[in-house]
Formats: sequence, structure tokens, C-alpha cells
Amino acid sequence: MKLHNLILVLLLIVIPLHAQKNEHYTISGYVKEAISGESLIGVNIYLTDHKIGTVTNTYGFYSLTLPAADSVGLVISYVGFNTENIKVSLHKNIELNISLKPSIILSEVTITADRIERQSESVKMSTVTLQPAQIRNVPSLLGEKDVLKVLQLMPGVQKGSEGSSGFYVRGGGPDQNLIILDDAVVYNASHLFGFFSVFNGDALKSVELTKGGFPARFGGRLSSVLEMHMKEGNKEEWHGEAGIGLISSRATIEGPIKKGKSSILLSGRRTFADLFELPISKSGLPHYYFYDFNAKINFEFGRNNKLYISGYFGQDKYSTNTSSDRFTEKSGYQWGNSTGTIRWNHLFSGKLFSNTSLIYSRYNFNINDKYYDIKEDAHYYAEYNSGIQDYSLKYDIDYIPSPNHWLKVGFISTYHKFNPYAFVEKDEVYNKNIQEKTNEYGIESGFYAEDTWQPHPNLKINAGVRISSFIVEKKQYLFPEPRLTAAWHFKNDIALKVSYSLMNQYIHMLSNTGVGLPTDLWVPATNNIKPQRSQQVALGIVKDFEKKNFSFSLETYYKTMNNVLAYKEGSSFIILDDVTSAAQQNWENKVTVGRSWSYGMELLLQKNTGRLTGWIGYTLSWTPMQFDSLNFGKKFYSRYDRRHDISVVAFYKLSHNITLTGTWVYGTGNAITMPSATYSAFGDNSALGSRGRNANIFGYGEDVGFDYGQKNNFRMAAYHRLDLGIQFKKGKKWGERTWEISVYNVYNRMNPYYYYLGYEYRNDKSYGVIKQVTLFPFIPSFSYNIKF
Amino acid sequence: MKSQNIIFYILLIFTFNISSCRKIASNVDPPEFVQKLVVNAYLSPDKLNNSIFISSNERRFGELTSPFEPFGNVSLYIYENSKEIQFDTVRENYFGSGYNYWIKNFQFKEGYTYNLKVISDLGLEAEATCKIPLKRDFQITVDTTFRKTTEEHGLKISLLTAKISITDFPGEANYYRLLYLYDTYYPATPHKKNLSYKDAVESPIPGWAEYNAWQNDRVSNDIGLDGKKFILRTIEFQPVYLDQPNSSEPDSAFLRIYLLNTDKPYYDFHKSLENYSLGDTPFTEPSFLYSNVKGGLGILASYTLDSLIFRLK
Repeated sequence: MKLHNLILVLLLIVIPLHAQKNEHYTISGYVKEAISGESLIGVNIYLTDHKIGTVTNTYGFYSLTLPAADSVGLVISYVGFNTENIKVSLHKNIELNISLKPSIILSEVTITADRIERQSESVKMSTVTLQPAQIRNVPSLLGEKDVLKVLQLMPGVQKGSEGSSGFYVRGGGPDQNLIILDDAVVYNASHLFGFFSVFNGDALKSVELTKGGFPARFGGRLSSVLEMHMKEGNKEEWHGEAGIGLISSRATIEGPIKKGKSSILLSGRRTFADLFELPISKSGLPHYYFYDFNAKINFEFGRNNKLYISGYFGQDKYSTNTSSDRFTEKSGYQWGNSTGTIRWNHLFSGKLFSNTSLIYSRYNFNINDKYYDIKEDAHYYAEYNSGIQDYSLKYDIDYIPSPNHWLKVGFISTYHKFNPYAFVEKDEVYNKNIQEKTNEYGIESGFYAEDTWQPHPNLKINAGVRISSFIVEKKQYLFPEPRLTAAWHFKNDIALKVSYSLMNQYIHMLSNTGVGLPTDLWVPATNNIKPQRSQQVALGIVKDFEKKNFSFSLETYYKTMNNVLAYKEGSSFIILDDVTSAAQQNWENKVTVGRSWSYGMELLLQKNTGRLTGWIGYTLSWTPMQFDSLNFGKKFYSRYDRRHDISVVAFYKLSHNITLTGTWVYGTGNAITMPSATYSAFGDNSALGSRGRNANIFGYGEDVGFDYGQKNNFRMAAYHRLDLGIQFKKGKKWGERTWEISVYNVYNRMNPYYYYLGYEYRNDKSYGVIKQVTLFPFIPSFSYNIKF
Repeated sequence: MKSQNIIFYILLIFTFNISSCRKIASNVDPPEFVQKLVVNAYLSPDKLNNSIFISSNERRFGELTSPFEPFGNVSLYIYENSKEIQFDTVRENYFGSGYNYWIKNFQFKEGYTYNLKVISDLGLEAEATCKIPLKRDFQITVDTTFRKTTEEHGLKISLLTAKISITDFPGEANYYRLLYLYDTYYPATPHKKNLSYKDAVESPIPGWAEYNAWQNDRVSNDIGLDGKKFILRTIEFQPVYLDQPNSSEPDSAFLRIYLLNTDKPYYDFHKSLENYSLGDTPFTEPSFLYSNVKGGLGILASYTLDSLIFRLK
């Protein structure tokens, strides 16, 4: 109740500032896709006479308050849709819902819009927006379409290891990315030990990644916010799509519950290798599968109220069965996320929009082992669990008093329940019955207010503040986080942009892999471990080449990150096949706190329309780190410090039915620690040499040390790869089918996944060598998809 | 049939690819080898003989040398509180990995700072400094208890628990390493009861059998415990004479406890050994060994000793 009052007070302060003296009226409504009734996010609505515009919000809502006029011209444009030109007479408040038609039915690549949103007109910077069509068209490993791997092709976003869906944004670790699906945090975004992300592209409507210049409504992570929204489902008629590839098969169905008013979407995906393996599975063979399921249902209760209920559930499971005439054993591990969101949109007026969300999110990781001793007729069972659960309440208000102001205020409060460790062991032979559990709790809250303000025709500002708070172990952290982005628009198609943001992060992920393994552990800031904090400034220039449909952006950034966590030297992640070792983890003793810096430059040249579309991205960056307990306190480059990173992505529409796609990536090799020499290094084994016989005790077994010089002193070979794909589409009576053939790593580049030390013996001589493991050489794949 | 062929060719391609996944990395140059002297020495006034181990680091890439990288003839210089001292050395080959130089005609002193310089006639140089901690009385006490338990194979055994307490010396940073030894002594003919510690350990009687088990403990420090009495370790072991009723009973049993009061480099080096990781999987990072040797590698550290002999039987 107090929070609600605070927001009302904020509004009461702000609203009079924007009181209109002259007679003004509001045009407001929703922009939807004509065929499905799906609301569209980020649609550009431009007033030709006023040279000013707005965009639709997350729910497709827009609002324009203008002086009374006999004729107001609106141009409504969106990538992939025909532009609509509408004229209205404005002498009263108008409700204007707009339906946009796809530019070419069933073709997502070529668009003909004559005036899409231009980057030079937007105040946003350091933001990447992906269309579902782009995700579908980029050729991928084993044909599995993956939103996170498409994001890795953008400047400032780097992959970790080969094939991994984990991503690093401007030098920040994977834990510094806030990944939210319909407002719910997804803590582990990986299937199959990090090789595929958990997001099914068929169920997604929008994907937006913010790397810097964070608006005040975002908080909780240092490096990026990846905001995804699920499709609402077709409100007009039933449709579906399905596909089968080498790894998984998937199906989506959507349709109206009440035509034009409510709809439902169900989408699922599952690997199938284990299904074929079952009939012939033998003792000792591993079984593995993953699946995920998305569901969304929404209802419209008149113009002013909408209700959305959505959820995600995904699971990976790996197990082995072994048996003999003496015993049977079943062991394995499983992990998964589940999220649920209930959102209520309420329109107070044409200018005042609100959303209330109740959110649940859970991630759990489990290792288990069941053993049965046939001779003794005795059972043994051990289980280790770790995870995190969130319960959140979020309330957001959009107040749009004029085209020059867009105010957003709101709060989010999340109750975190951390379970870094829960262990059960039951042993009938030794009469053991152990049940241990450690839970930690925290309440994370954020209050924000921001305004997107256009004080001058050439200047746009997004300014705001977020008050973030975290209560844990009877301690409260409370910090203000100022945010500012400004864009100066000149020469009609060029904008100079600048941003500053301060972010705090109250929960940490402990990982020394960075590849999104299920053993990564989420833990809170505590009395001893302070919250992470970053400050980032960015400066950029954007130019739109309207005739050629190109846009170009150049950004430089400088980011500092404090209280960053890392495992201490020698500490490692949980051993996957050992339950008791997993139970001996004590995370606070294993971590060290340090600082990190990241700075660099990003270039992006994009072409969004025409037969040939795509982008070229280039990143030049540095990411040094410093920890008191690592590398003897000296600075070193992060493992994923990447001096040069290039991505070239192209889609070419050869004909109405055939699309060629290709990507080429290049990246400086990862910085790793490689020894240059070995030496004898033994502990003090003769401490009692003077005290009697048998003095030669052996306490410290290591007697060969490696001389590394510096941490991450060695660069792996540069990574580069070309992927090509071709899609054949054909219209059928029932809909459309698509065959896709793609090749990953066309020129079979032997990119190293990791190095290890080896020896070669030639002519009675021994040679020390570096050996490498390449994970994915030339790999062809195909998939078959249908839409109906 | 057609679809079976397709599957066959896909499997063939995968098999070919997977088999070609491990190879020598040909497109990277290994880190350059820079030869350095390696020093390994733990000096103590409580040792009758101190030694300094000297060797060279060895190249890891390219043609490897055997038995170790030649590092020439070395000269050792030791400075006590900045004043050069005179001493003799006896050199011995140490397991084929370097040389141990036994220091003769010189005794190290507590509270003194020692600077070691090693110069090889091949032009290699290394230097390190340590300050020997003062001898302290840490008031070691032992509290023992017995309990019976069931071992993994169902055997009933007795366990001896010994709580070893010490009192930290106030006003200084202390670093500890605990060593302990459990000794049992069996009678020979003629039988002699209740062998003294002097007879058992310091001047053993010929023909007596002994069973002893050295145990060493990890290093620790006194952070948050300055000047306090605390339990340093609780150790648990199975006394032989209680669980072998049919064998001959030992004459006497002792728990010998040695507490090393070490300097910080001793602590840091052993701590880095405890946490040592080669990082030999793609998911682990290698860790570094601590070194205080300038221009080289290894460790020059020191300690003094406090001890307690605790009679169990």
C-alpha cells in the first residue's frame, strides 16, 4: 500500500508539470498485426506535420496528445509490415486501434516500408532488437535456432566457448545479464550443458538486448538486460507450426478462445534421441533429453483491461543405469527453470497506462544416486540440490502527457529464496539418515521514475533514477542509481548520443566455466560479500542512409565493475558425478572479490530492407581484471577479453521461395593460462629432520609446479567460421512447408575448444607439445518445418 | 532404402569429423621458455642441518632435456641482517631434479633476517629473503577421549579423539603448521615395561619394534584469534593396541605434537600447494604456486618449533 501511495505522489508531482493550457486531445490505442491480432511492440507512429513521433510500448499501446486540428497525419511503420498512412480530425479524444499487414505474406525478410523507425530519431542507444524472422533465418549448429546465438553476432556481445549459448556483454560475465521472459527472470538459459538456449523461437514475439544506457526501469544486473516477450496467440483463427531437426522436434499451436478478444498459445520442444535409444538401451549407457514448454493465454475485458497469463517450463535430464548380479545403480542429474507470470494491463485514460505483474521463477539443479546391494538387500540413496526461487510483484505506469514527454514510474519487489545446498543421504548398511539444507533469503526491490523528454526538436533525453534495495541477513543495502541518455539529432539523419548508468547487482552466480553449466550457483550478496556495482559511460554516433536503407552506428564505452566475484585459485565447480563432493561446497570460502574494467568501440552497419538484408558488426575491446587473491594481485585479461570480434550476417532472397543465408564470424582467441616451463616445487617434508628417525614425512605431494608467468598469458588461436544455409519454402493447400539445409563451419576450420599439454616421441627424443580439441568441425544439418 | 542411405552417409560424416577432433595445435606458438633458477628452502634454528635445494625450471615445449635443464655451477651467498656469513656446503643430487646444498658450520637464529643470493656461472641469478620467527610457547594442550564406532565393513573399532589446543601469541601475526606422530613400541625379550620416551624415541633399544604414523596438517593462521586459546585441530585415529586384542600389546604409546610457527611465505606457499590445480579440463582454471624468489621460482621460508610429547599409554 505504501508503494502504491509513493507512486501516486510521484505522479501528482509530475502531472501538473505537464498540464496543458491550450485545448489538447489524445489519440491512443493499440497497434496489432492484422492477421493474428497480435499486439506489436516498438511500432513507430510519426506525425508528419509536427516532425515528432512515438512508439508503441511493450503491450502495443501508444498515446499522442496534440493540439486540436482538423487534420492530423499519422504514419505507422514497422519492420516487415506495410506502412499505414492515416489522417484524423482531432477535436476530441480518439481511440484509434491500428492493424498492420505484413508486407509480403509469409515472407519475413523483404520489407517495403517507406519510413521505418530511424535509429537517429530514437534516444535509445546500446540496444539490439531482433525480429523472430532473423532468429529463424540465421544458420545454426545442428539446425537448432537459437536466440542467444543470434545475439552473439551483434557487436558488444561475445560468445564464450564454441557452441555455447552463454554470452558476455561489454566485458561482463554471464551472471551480469538479466534474462527476462514475460517479466520473469530465467536463471539458467541453457540446455545440453550450454550448447543450446532454453528459448523456443517459435514462441517469441520480441527480443531486445540493452547493453548500456539503461533506462531507470531496468536494474539488478551490471551488464545487460535481455527482455523477451512471448507471443500472445492468434486472436482470429487457429494456426500452428511444427518442425523437426537433427536434435529436437517442436510444435506450436495458437488460436482464439473468443475471437478478437482472447487467445491461447502452446509451444513445446523436445529432443528425441533417447526415445529411439530406449528399446535397445544397455546397462551403463547414458540417457539424456531436454524439453521445454511455453504457454500463454490472454483475455481482453473491454478497452481498459487486459489479462495475460504465461508460463515456461523446461528441464534437462541425464541419467545412467548400471547393474550386475550384485547390484543395481541409477544416477544422474537434472536441472530446469520454471516461470509463471500474471499481468494485468489497465488503461486509466488515453494518457495513463498501467501494468501489474505477479511473477514466479524457479531454477533447480539436482544430482542423485540410487544404489541397491542385491546380496545385502540394502538400499543407498543420496541427493544434492541447489537452486533459487523468486516471488515478485511489479507495478509500472506509463504516463504520456504529450509527444514530448513519456513518463514511466513503478516498482518491483522480489522475494528470493536461495538454496545453495541441500543434501540427503540414506544408507541402510551403515544406518545413515542425513538431511541437511541451507537456505538463504533476500528481498530485492527497485523503485524507479524516468522521463523520455524532447525539450528541443533536435534533442531527446531519457533521464531517471532507480532506488534499489536489498535486505539480507538483517542488513539492508540501499543505493540510488542515476541514469541518463541524451541524443542530439542533426542534419536530419545523424544523431550524437551519450549515456551514463550506474547499476547494482545483489545476486551473484558462481561459475568458473562461463558456459552455462547446470552447476553454476546463484547466491546473494551477504554481510561479507557486497553487491556488485558498475558505472558505464557510452558515446555514439548514428547515421541513417535512407535511400539505401542502411543504418550505421559507432559507439565507444567505458565500464567499471566493482565487487566482482570469482572462484579462488584451485576452487572449482561441483563435480557432476559425485554427490558427496557436491555436498561439501561452502561458497563463501571459495570466492574472491575483485574489480574489472571494460572499454572499447563497436561498429554496426545494418541493412533491414530489400532483397539483401543483414549486418556487419565489429567490436574492439579490452577487459582487464584485478583480484587480490588471483594472479598475485596483479591485473590480468579476462578469459573472454577479445580484442577483435567481427560478425557478418546476410540474408538474400533469391526468389519468392528460396532464401540464402550466411554468417561469418571472427574473434581473437580467448586468453588462457599456459605454462612455459615446469619446476620442482615441494612442500616442507623435512620439518622434523632434527628430531628423530623417520623424519622424511610427505605432507605435500605436489612436486612439479608449472611456471605460468601471468594468468591468462596465452592467446588461443583466432576463432573464425563460415555457416551457410538455404531455405526452400513452398505454399501448400494447408499452409506452407520449409526445408532448410545448413552447413556449420563450411571450410572446416579447426577452432580449438580447449588446449592440453602433450608429448611426442621421435627418434628417441621427447618433445613437449600443445594439443587441441576441436568440438565442431564441418557439420551439415537439415530441418523440415511446416506452418498451417 | 533411400532414407537408410542418407542416415548412413550422415553417420559417416559425423564419424569422420569426430575422429579428427584431437590434434597438435599447429597454428599457435607455445610460450617462450625463459630459464630461471629454482630455490626451495625451509630454514629453522630447530633443525640440526638446514639445506637449500637449487635447480632450474625445465622447458615444457620443444625438445625436452634430461635429467634436468643444465644451470651451471652455482654460488650461494647468505646475508644475516645484511652481513655476509661464511659457511660450508655439501652438495648432493636430489632425486635427479637438482642439488641439495647442506649448510655446514652455521646455525640460523630466530628473529634474524636472512637474504639468499644464488648466482650461476651461466649468468642466472635468484634472490630471496626470509625472517625467522621468534620461538614462542604456545601452551599446547591435548584432551583425549575414546569412543567405539562401526567401520564401513561392519567392524567395531575404537577411535581416539585428541583435541589439540594452543594459545596464540598476542600482538603478532602467527602462521601455524601442525605435525603429529602416533608412536607405539612393542616389547622385545627381555621384557621391559613402560619404556620411557627417551628410550623409545631418542635412543631406541635395539630389537624393539615400533609402529608410527606421521601425520601432517595443513597450514593455518591466527586471523580473528590473536592472543586467544583455541582448539587448533581435532584429530581422530585408531590406536593399534586397542583393536588388536590378539596381537601382542604395545609397551607404550605416545602422541608427539609439533607446532611450527612459520613465516608468512611458508604459509602462502603451502596454501598455494593445498589449492593447487592444473586446470587440465576445459572447465577449470589452473592455480599459481606462491613464490618469493626474485628473478627465479620457488620459496625461501622459515619457522621455529614448539612441541609436546603426550603419553597415551
